[in-house]
Amino acid sequence: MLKSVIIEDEEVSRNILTNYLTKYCPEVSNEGEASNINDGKKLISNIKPDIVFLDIEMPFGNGFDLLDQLDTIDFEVVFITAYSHYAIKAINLSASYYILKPIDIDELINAVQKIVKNKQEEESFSSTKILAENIKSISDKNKKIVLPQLDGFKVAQIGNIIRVEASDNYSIVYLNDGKKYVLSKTLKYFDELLSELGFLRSHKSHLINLDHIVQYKKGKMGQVIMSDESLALVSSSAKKELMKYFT
Amino acid sequence: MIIRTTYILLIFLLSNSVGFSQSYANKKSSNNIFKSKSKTKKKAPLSTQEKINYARTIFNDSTSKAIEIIEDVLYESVNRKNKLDEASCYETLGLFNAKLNNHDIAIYNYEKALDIFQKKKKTGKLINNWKAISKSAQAIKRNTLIIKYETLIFDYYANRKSIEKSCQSKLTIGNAYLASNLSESEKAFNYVIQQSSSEDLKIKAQIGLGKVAQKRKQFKKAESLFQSANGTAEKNENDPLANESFNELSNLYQEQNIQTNNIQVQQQAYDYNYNRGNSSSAVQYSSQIANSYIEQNRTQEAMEVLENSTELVEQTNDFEIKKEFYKTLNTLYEKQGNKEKAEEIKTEYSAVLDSIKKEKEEKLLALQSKNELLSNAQNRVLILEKDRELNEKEILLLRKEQDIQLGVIQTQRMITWSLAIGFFIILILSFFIYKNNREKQISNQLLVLKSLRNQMNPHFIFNSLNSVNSFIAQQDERSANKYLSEFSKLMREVLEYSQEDFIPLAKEIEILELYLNLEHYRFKNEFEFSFNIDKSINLDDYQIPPMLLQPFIENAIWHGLRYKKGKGKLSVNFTQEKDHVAILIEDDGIGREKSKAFKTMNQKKMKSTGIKNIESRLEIIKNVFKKTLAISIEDANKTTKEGTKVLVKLH
Repeated sequence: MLKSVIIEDEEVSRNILTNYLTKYCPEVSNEGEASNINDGKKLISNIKPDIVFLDIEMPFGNGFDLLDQLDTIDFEVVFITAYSHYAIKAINLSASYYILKPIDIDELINAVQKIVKNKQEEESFSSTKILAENIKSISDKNKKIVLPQLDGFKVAQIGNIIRVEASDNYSIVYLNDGKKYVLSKTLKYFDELLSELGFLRSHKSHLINLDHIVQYKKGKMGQVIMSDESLALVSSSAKKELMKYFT
Repeated sequence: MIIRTTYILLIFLLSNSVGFSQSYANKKSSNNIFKSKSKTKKKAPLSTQEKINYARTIFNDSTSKAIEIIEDVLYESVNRKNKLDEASCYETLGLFNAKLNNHDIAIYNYEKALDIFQKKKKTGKLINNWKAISKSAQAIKRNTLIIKYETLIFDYYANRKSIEKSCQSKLTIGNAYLASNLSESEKAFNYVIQQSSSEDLKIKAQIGLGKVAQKRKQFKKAESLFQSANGTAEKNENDPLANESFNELSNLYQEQNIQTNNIQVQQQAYDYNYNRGNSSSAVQYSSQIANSYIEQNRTQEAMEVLENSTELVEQTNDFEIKKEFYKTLNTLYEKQGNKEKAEEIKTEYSAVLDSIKKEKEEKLLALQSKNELLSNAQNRVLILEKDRELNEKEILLLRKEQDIQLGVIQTQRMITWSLAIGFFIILILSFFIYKNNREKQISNQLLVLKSLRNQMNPHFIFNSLNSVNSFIAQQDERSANKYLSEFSKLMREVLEYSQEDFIPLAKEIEILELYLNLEHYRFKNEFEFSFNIDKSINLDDYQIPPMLLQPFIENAIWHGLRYKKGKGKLSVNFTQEKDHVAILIEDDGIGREKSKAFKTMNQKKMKSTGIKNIESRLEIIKNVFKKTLAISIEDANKTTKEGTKVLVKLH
């Protein structure tokens, strides 16, 4: 039985979640509720829950503020949000769980079961921890990205990613330690996550870390040589963007 | 830029129009010159033609008066530019000169008249002038002139089938050609003989032909022609022609030095005239016969002839003939040595000579005085003509000047017009460019406006839908249904009206009420609200951009009331003011300052652009629709800085 708390400012929303959890998630018990993060922090230290259902938008500090303010995180967060593009990007970076309002019961069950499964396998990896780290880190380069693998996760620092290349519906992430990881995500997915963190979509099938560019070769199709001596293509439309970055 | 070009163009146009008025003034003054020249007009009580005719009738008796009249008329017609009257004056002057034997001047005047008549195509007037010129030319034996004008006269009559008159002129042509072109002359005479039915003309033509033959030394032919002419003339009792032919015959014989024949002819002539009772002619011939005898020293016969004529001499009044007779008689007596008789005749001779002199002098005197008058007039006419020539030159010059000025004016006008047209085109173009720009601007702004149009905050939408979930979870069918219906109603209104630039105020109020109800359901514990609409407001009269007020209410709840401990209050009031509707949205939340202070870094990343959007929207609406909406936001309680008051003035 996993302990859970709900931190959510809307009473109606809390009621719904409580209702669904009792009905559809027997492996989770609802141990308490809070309507803001201050109450939430107290609740967490009191209950020491396994799961926190956390609303992002709240008065007196949002869900990220809560994670920011906690020193230790030994629970998994399931974010509950109505609509927040910015928040979802951050969540995706650390592969944390989130449920969109209006709450889809299947999504709720799915998220809970995944957490239960991870707990059972006693994985030391916590996406919530990474998310909290990311929130706390001032530099974008030090932020981490979780790369889910068939057999688990690979956590990489964003600064260590040299480039990402598309290959059909998969993406290959090249790291500066010479390793590459194939992920079942589209390049667009990575583009959205990383474009504001120093990456450029230089080509239809190339997303490059601008910090890792070593050389630029002019030509019909521009080319950049990256720090691992690999080549990435630069389309004419991206050339301008690239030049802007270097001047 | 456009304004500057306009300015320059305007200056240009103005300076040009000044130049134009100046040249116009010049033109006016030059017109005045013309007017002053033609101001010496006089009014004619009699018509000019009547005056001319009158002058012609009185010429013989009162020459000076006649000349004066013609002169006056001439001046008048010149000034009035009446060419036909002018021509008539010249014609009359010609006539006067011809009468006074100034044939050269007469011809000069006639030709002037003729020139005008020809230019004015007055064919009727031409024939008389031709005849007059020919007559004067005959008088001074100007053969080329005679031939020229008689040919014209001949053609004129030939065309009109007036045979006798045409033959008459042909005869004159023939005589004129005698001096220069015998064959032409012969042709002319033959023509007369063939065409004419007049005996007289035929006789004259015969005489002419005789002269041609004589000049060609065809004496026999000439003799027979003269004789034939003589015969016919005698038969017709045409004395002048008979005498002429006698004379020609006599000349012919003299040329051949056939004295017998000569005397015989002269005798015949004498006999003929004697019988016809032409004493003068008879005396003339007797003198001739006597002279012929004297040349042959046949004084006796000469004496006989002369003595036979003494009685006739008394009868004749012709002093010339008398003189000739006495002269011959005198010569004869002196030859015979009869000094007494010779002396006697000499006194007689000198008496006749005296009378001739007297007669001649009288005639001469009369002519002289008339001539003087006429030549003076003629001189004045000449001066007038010169004057006129000068005038015409002056006028021509002025015309040229005027033409040049007109040209200048025209080019100026052209420039002015083209400038004006250019200016106009620029104006139109700039107007279109401006309009186009403005339209572009407006459409751009409309686009921006569209993008700024407030859409429902997605948070609200999904949170509201989530609320429905709660009813479902509670199995509260009625509530779920009611909530969902209201939500749908709100969405429908928003979707329907969010595309409009303005919606009726009533609609906006409806949307606000729906929104407030739904939000209140979610935050029942946070706030109470009141919604008051002044009944005096005619809601149909006011238009408002859609979803303009909603963000203020949303802000009041989310940033004001939700942070407040305990229940807050939100009031929305619509009140009718003098010239506008005042919309007051007031809350007693924590106030803007505190709300800002509460926001964490992470919260600030969630951008709230509601109010900024409204400001941009209002700016564009002001630009495009010229509609101003005054919005003021302030703290409700100024000392504690709590609560927020939003006042919107809708005009």
